[in-house]
Amino acid sequence: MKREFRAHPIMIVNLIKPFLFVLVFPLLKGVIQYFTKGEITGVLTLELIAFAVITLFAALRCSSFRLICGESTVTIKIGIILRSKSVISISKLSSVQTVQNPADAVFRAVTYRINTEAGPKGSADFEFKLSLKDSREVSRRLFGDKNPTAVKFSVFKVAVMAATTSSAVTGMIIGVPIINKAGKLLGLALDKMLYDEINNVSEKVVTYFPPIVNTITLIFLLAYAVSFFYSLFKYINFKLYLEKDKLEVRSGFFVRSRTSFKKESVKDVIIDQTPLMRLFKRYAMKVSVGGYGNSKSESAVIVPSGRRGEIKRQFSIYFPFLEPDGKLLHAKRDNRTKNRFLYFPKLYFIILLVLSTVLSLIFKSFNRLILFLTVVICCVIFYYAYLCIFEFRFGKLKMGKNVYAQTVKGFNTCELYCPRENVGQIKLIRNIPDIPRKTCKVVVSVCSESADSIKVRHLNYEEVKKSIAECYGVEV
Amino acid sequence: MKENLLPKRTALLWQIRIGLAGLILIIALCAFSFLTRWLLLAAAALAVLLALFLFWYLPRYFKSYEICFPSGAIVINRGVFIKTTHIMPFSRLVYAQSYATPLARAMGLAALSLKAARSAIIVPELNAADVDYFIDFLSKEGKA
Repeated sequence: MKREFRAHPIMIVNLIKPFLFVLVFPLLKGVIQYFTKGEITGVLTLELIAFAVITLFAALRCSSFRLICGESTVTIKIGIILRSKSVISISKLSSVQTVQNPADAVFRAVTYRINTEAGPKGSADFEFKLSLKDSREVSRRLFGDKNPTAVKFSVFKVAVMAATTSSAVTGMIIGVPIINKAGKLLGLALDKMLYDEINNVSEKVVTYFPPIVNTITLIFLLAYAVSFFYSLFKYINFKLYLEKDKLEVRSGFFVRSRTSFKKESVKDVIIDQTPLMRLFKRYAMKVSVGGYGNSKSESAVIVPSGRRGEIKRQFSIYFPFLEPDGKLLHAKRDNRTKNRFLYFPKLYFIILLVLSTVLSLIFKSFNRLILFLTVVICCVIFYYAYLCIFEFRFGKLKMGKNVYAQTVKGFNTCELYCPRENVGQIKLIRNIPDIPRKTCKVVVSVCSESADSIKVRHLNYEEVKKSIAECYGVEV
Repeated sequence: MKENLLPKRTALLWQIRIGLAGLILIIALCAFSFLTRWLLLAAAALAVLLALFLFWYLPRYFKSYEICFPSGAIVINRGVFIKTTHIMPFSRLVYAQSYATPLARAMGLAALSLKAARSAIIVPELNAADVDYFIDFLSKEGKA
């Protein structure tokens, strides 16, 4: 039985936003009038008229919105001038996300996002506001109302995940615009005040290294703290609701978010470990869902933090159909191959030593700064070498009914599980040293909007070709 | 089974749409011709080009449109100078979207956009009833 839903009136605000630039035109008219006639008249009236017009259009557009839930399809109608009608089969939905920010909570509304694989990258296919009651009814109609099993993750686990996945760079990306906007809003030079304060504090700490090092360290620590708190508040109250063929993730403190998706919409599952997680022997499990989310990675966290055994157990429960099979492929475990894995770390280390020696001879007065930078980069190279050894010892690929790969991605170690039909592309790369040694680098890209890809190095070329032929029936 | 499903009104709609846009540009050029007489010349050249486009190119482009439905797919051939063929298997179809401007609505037409992962195929204005029938067909088949 079909049921029709209308948009919540708060959607008018969302529809007004893109047209607010219209309000600039009366101001421009005022400026031109001032320069030509030396007086300004009618700007306020024009502003009011312009605002009334865009509000009227937004209200009409909002009232024209209809969401019709049928037995197997969802129909979305919107528009007064340009009318559009979209029909989506429920089986083709990737995920459905409801987000409630504090303003929505006051009006008992939610932002409802419907995602498919076909939508524009980085944004939801359909986004609208529904009342809380209607949103629950829509979700019930789309995914049924079976009693789910709820898995709650403690604040400690979420905090561990926030601490281990946060980075200073993320903190800066989040923090800097907030400081700038807040400064402009309050009419204060907040950024300058903050910088002066950081300078004051860093000057009080006396170390062998110059004060700039303390300042940079303090900025990085502050940015890391911002990133940590952002991540913590984003994932706090993390709960996972399990059904036979559906998963629902609920999280958030100020902004509450619910993401539901069918297990069959999952493109791949990644178990990854950041450098800090490695220190605490913790892993996180994420899934990539086609067309999901407004982030680049389109991945949803399923288990924020857990030990290896715990994560593996949960993987077997949630995704038993993704258990790896097929022949195991890995690099040869001999010293020669180990040296090949360590080729780049060694090269970078030699370059660093030469460069820092030359720089310290040229710029003698900056010796302490050069030493500090050399130590930092050296640590990064050593960690990279450590990851290369990890890749040498544990890097592997299995191609059967499902594709499984374990390797290193950036500074994280990760494991990827995906059904073989979700693989979009397999690339075999052979460099000059690979040809005599009959090895190759295999890049597996998952077919999705912003595809996850994973690279396993120094595998036997003939074995890889044989595996591809067995798995896909394609002779390379 | 190649056929042009587009009603003749679609060609008229394209002509009106492009004609109006071109006319606005020509009027603007004429209005600013007090700045330099070259703008009048440009307006005249544009008018000739527009006439050529509306009465020679557009009818041929319209005729070149071939839409067919071999088993389980939609194939669209189009183009006068550059021929393009677009094939989309229904199995890859994620959803279908119809949209209509006020002018198209007045003429009883609606365009159709068929979306698949990373690509979309746009079927130009068809009879609104045909579009609804097509969407219903896809919905019943569970393809969109």
